[in-house]
Amino acid sequence: MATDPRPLASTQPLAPVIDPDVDEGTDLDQTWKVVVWNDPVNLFAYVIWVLRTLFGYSEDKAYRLTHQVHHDGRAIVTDGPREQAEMDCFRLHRHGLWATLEQ
Amino acid sequence: MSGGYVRPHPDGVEIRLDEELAAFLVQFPFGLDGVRRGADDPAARRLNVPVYLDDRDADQEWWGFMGEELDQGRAADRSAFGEVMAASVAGTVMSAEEARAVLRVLVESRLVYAARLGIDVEEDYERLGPSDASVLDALAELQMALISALE
Repeated sequence: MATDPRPLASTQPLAPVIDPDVDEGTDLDQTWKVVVWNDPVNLFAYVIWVLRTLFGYSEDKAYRLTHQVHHDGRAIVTDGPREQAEMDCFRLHRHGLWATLEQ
Repeated sequence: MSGGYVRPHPDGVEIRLDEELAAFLVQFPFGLDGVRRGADDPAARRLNVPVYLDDRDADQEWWGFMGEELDQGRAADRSAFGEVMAASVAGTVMSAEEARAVLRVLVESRLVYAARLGIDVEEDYERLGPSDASVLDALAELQMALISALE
């Protein structure tokens, strides 16, 4: 909900708005990686199921990523703009997987 | 599955558990309710792991936005879990969403139980007593049955 008290239409020409806090060309352009980390509790079959269910991956792709998590300790399971990556991370946490974000 | 069955059903997943197993399982959400974010508790740390490893401010911001929703979702799962367990002795059919909620509570329960036993690496299982090992196995067995039924 907008809180700006100014009317939507103005007879005065609008001056360009400069927001010193906006750092153009940063997060919006960058791809964030979503990493799933190995843990000794979650079942291999469960991690495969989560990756298939959340991301629609084939059984083969989900298996390869889960194997990589188990073997290498971590795997990048998806990537995208920051907002999307943060939501994917949320969905993984919601399912009990340890997911982190990195560039 | 010992102690009952879980199988696919046209409306979701059918579950029937014997009384002893249902009574054993229904206790877990109560333990989970006591896990508070930020508490000095290995279970709380495991359920609320950092998202940004190298950026404390970004991590706090993520948890500020998402933490409450995560807590609410987990609470809703536990409520669904309790209802399903209560009905499971007579036998009931869960929707797919209810089955996924039950599955997530089982996962959460195993994570919390294992965290409190100090299981940090797979080798830690070797020092578990038979009682603790059987708890984790029982939760895993139902988890696997649900995954099979949902696939």
